[in-house]
Amino acid sequence: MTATHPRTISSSRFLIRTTVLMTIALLCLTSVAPAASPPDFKLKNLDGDWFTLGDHLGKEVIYVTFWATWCVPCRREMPHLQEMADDFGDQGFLVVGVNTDPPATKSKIKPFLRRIKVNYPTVLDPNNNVLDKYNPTRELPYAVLIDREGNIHEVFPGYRAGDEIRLRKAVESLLAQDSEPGETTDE
Amino acid sequence: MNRLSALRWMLTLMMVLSASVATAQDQEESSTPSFRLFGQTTSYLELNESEDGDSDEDYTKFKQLVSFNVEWSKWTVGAQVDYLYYSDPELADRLDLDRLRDTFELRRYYIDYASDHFNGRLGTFFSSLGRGLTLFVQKNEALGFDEPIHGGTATLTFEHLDVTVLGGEVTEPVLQNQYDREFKDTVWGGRVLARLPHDFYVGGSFVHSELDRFFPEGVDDVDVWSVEGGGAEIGGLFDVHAEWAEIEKVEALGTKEGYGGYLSVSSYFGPFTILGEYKDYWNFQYRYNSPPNAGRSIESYNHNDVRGPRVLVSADIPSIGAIISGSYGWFDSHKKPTSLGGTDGDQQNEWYITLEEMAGPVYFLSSYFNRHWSNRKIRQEHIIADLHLGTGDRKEILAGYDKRIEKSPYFSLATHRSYAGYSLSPHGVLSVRYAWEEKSGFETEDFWGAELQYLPTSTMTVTLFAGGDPGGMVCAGGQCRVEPRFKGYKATFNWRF
Repeated sequence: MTATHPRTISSSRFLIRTTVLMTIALLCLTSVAPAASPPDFKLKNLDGDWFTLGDHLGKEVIYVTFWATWCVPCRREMPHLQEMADDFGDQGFLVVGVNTDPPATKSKIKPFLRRIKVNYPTVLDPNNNVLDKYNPTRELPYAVLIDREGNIHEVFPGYRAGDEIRLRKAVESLLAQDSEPGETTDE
Repeated sequence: MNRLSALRWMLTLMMVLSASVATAQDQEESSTPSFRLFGQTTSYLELNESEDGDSDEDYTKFKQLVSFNVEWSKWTVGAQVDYLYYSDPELADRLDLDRLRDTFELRRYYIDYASDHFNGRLGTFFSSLGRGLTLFVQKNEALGFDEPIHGGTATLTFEHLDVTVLGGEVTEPVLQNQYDREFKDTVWGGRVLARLPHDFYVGGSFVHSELDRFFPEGVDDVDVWSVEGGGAEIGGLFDVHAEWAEIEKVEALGTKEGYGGYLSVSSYFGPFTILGEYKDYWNFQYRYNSPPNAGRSIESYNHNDVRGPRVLVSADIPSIGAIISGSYGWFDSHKKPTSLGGTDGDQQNEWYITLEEMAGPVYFLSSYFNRHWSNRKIRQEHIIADLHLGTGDRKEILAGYDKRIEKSPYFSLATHRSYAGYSLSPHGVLSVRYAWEEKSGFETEDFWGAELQYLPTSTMTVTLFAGGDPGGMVCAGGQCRVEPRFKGYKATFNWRF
């Protein structure tokens, strides 16, 4: 890594370089197909037990949501997610919360979840290595809805009032596509 | 070969060996290979106007970031290139963390292998060891901290044991701007954690670092180690974590030793959630640690010389959908009348109370924070109020107020920030911001601003801002930074793929 004083360059060179860089980025972007399968991960929960996403892919409709205790929109969304986990859990819907708090505030996570009455599986990503694979910008909350085929159905960046209605409709639609919970696609 | 070189070679050998063992084990397992390309591009344009309106001191800043990552089966390869342009770098604020960056820079590059038994990465990465007591190198998006370790890390996972080793070169994000030069440091270390029956665990970590010295030119050696232990739902009632660390700093003027002890206990009784912590840090902070703290993540905390307990109690009021939280901590330092500075301790009382209400479309958060250093007669207050009123499909009315006050016998500073916003559509929010700063001996300064955030798709965000912001102390995720004040225009475009 270098950190030297940047050079003052002319406006024309600046425009040329910027244009070239943007063009390369856009060309690459337009050639990229939407991501289908989510990155697998294996993380510990709050009690130190392992959770592997791959164990559930292709079996359940999964909502993987990244959050932190200091994130206000996350706090607003989580009670709605718990409600959906309660309503659709027996139909094969799984909510997985991935906490991204740094290790220094780990002791606050469990009391926080208890306080807002969230009991769906929560795993810890203190170094944000998994978050980086889903969302390199690291904005929170950030979530993906995964269908029973194990593919990403929809991405939910941020939270605004009413998002839970859109999510509920999407979950109901995915569950209705295959009403037999527990049926696997890879067996 | 000296002791440190031997340690480095040993850690490198451990990474290679563990990779070989894990790969051999993984080859025996069947898996379905998957291919995925993901990343982002962010364009940021800033037209920075001088405070006195002198057009000669205006400057333009442009930043372009492109990140590509390819994931195939258990492998991920990624790179991120930044391009930075200042029309006049000499005018850039000293608090701007990009100020010393090169025009083109390869900011990230890595190859990562992740499996059930092994996770290894060569290139850039972030990591923490021992809940931040021995090592803390993390990205903080809200504050602009983005200095990874350039090296390698490997974690081997057995049924009841995790072993992590890491090493590489790293730069602290704020220092190089403060001292107007580059700092290149190295860190090496590892952690072992054993899981015991009944959700108990024990472990320990060690880090050696070589820190580029401020003055005189040279290198400071820092060794820090810790042991930790705890358990979940002990007796069905308590979650406990305890950690003890010791540090030795070999500096230009001699060797300093210090220690850090931390204990947290949490439990639940009916509608009450209780968290207690005790911390005792003496001469403990170094450039790359951030010890645990159960205080508010939006306040600044000293971890170098402080000791004392804190209690945090929360209670539900289900009938009105409200949660009330209160915290009280009373701390002291290890200073004595004979210490440098000559005070008999540095006593501080800190308390805050928060009310959070979620009822139908209404979300309301209000909080009052108060901290008083009785020896130094300094008081800090922080008031927050935040209201979100849902008015339909992804539409909201937003309003908020934030006030920070710092008072001492000689100086007072109050920074007020307020905003009101309205969702123009399910895809966009327009908000107006008004801030003012009251500083003793100076006239009150006003800052008006307007921001439009537009999300044309779920993977694209456009943000436009015009106006000013007073800057100052900003904290997020337990870290703080003094941000420069701003007047001008900002535009950001972000696209994830």
